[in-house]
Amino acid sequence: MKKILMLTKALLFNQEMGKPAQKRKSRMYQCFGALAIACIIIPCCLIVGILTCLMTQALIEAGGNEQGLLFVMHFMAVFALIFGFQVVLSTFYFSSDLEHLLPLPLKIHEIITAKLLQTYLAESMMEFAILLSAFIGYFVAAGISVSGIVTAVIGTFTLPVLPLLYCGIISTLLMAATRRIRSPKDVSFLVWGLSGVLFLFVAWAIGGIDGLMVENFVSSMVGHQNRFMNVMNVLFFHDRLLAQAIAQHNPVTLIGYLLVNIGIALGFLALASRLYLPGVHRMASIGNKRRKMSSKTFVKACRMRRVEISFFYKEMKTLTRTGAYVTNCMMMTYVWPVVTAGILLWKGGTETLLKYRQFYEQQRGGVDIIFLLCILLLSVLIPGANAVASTSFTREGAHIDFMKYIPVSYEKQIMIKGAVSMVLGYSSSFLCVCMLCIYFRTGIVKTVYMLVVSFLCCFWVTGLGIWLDSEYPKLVWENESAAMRGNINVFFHMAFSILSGMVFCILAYLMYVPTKEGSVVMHIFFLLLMLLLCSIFGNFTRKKAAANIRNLLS
Amino acid sequence: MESEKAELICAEHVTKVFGDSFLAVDHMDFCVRAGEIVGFVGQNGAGKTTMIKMLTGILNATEGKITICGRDIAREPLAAKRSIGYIADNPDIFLRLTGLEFINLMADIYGISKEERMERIEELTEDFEVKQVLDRPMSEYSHGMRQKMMVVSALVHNPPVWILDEPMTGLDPGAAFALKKRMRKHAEEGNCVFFSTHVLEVAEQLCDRILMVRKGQLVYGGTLEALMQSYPERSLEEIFMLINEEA
Repeated sequence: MKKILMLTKALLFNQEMGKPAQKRKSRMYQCFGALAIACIIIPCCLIVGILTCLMTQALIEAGGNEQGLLFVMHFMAVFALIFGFQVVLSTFYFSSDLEHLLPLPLKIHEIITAKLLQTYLAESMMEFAILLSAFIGYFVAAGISVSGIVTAVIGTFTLPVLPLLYCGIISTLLMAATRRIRSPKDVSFLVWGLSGVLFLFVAWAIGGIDGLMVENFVSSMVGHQNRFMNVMNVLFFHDRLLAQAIAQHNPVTLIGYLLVNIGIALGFLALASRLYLPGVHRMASIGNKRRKMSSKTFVKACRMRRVEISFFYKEMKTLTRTGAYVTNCMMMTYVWPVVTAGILLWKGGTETLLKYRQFYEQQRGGVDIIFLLCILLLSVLIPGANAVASTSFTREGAHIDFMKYIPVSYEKQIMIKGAVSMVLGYSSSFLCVCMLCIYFRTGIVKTVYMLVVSFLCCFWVTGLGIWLDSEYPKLVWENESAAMRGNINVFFHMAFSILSGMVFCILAYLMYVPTKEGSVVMHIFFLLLMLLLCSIFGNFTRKKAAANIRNLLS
Repeated sequence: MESEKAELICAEHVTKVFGDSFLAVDHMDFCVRAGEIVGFVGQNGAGKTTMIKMLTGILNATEGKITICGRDIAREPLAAKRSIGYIADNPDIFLRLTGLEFINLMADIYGISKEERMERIEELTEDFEVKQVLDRPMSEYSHGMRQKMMVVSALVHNPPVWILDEPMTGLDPGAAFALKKRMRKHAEEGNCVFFSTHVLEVAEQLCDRILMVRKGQLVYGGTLEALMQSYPERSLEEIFMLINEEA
């Protein structure tokens, strides 16, 4: 046990991004941290807590005491499963620390347990906070008891375990199934294929939540006709035990819940003890087929390009060829248009959206302002969440020196990194804006306006991300996945983009309240505001980030 | 005659302080002239890599001045860097790119024409026996192959000044021989090579002069012959140990 804890500690320390050494930067990062907590963690916790409370109140009346809480627990578990799969796979099989761990006289279950604990502690902090809020929301609606509190505290720290164990089991089985696979491309195909299947399965289950109408939702939950709940009750059957333990103050169910967790953990360790090492060895033995490059290919590849273009391609190739970047950057970029298209196709014909469209066409009830705010929010959230700008320098890692010894100005290199983030972020928001404008029949002028405002939003948020990452990039990482995880710049960037979205909404509200009019004024105001932000921040980022990189390591 | 040769690398009173007080390089003075191969020798942590990073513009000097081909690296960084071919001590760079993509990126950065780069790539990759792996991602390369790719990419633009940080590390004997041959040829063509090494035999075989460094200070600068004459009947290894103890 001592060995496992020491190993976990070492792995965690290795992954952490410490505070900046300089006092000024350290203080600045503390402020950013507080801001991020205020903009991300607290709003999320409040939303989950309030939703749980409301659902529980509605369901208690209908006779489904713990169903609301169970719904949130299932939701958290399923997202932990989806997002955890690639993380666990990467930590178990593709992290470079394996080269140092495997030669040590450690048992397989010790390595696996340490890696699992590392992932659990590094990935579950947000989940703890949200689960705790869900329990508080439940207690507010259903009443509080000592046994309930004890069970909730145990639940907060144990609920994230089982999804991680599932991820571990799936990863181990998947790698065991790659016996005949020899090419990295096939492994990628298998991993992505399985991720896709998982995603589709969850989307299908979530599709069965039964609409956004409260009555439908409550009746389907109480009547056990909710597909999401029925599927998740099987997949995460332990959630039910915990929810019952809280609702019925039943210690036996709590013990049953804990035994299930322990049983599955032991089962996973037994499985991993047999299958893990062969899987690791197989992954280390795969390789692409070696073919001789034709002279035609060589000549074609050797064409001269402008340095900007060459750099741009380098950045794009790194982003598209690295699994961790594909998951955290590319997928987070293009999930938005997919979701927008899905909502418009799936719910576009529903009464609620059709009514909104009608109101928009009639310029009623400030719907056009809500529409503008949606576009603004989307356009700041996409580049804020995709972590492309906020890892611009982090991605260079140990070879950040390269930026400094090549004869290309820092400003130019920063512009290219910005261009990469813009191309990705704006292409995604462009698609979303176009789809929304087509659905809402905004007309060409407004569509062009929305596209321009969206571009400016992307530009401003990209600049923000690049500046943030230049202040204190995470340059020490074991693999690209570790570059993204625990990277406070990514977290801060997302917080800032959410904060700017909140400020936009407050500004719009303050402008709208006195007159209940002013759509044209507001459209002009936001255009001017974004132009101002972009001109100030574009210049600031270029100069400040260049100075930061120049002084980096010095 | 020697003093008339152009000074391609010149460091004047160069000092580097990290944080408030850690003196990594202490008033170092030296020049490397055209036609010279200069070895930078010292123990681990002596300040070799810090000095090399200042020469290449990765770090700025706290005090002093560095010029490359007459250009001040602090005032005209881009012009100075264009004259440098640098091999870093860590070859794990842009591993998602193929070897050819990486070399082409470097060639684009230095503005090398298609014809010239094709000729250089053919020649260098044949010399270092990496031609057959050019289209494979560098993540699939061994450490030694990555090091060879670093050498090829650093030399593809045929710069007058080579600055190499432990260039032989990880190279197989064939590639090490090819690099040594190229270093000699490069110096004979009127250019210069400045490289750090722990391996005294390499310095002995190659260098016209060596600079011995200890705790950030230059403790010896001159030819190997002169050094050997000052310590008769001692091996180079023994002399190195003695100087480090004396200093």
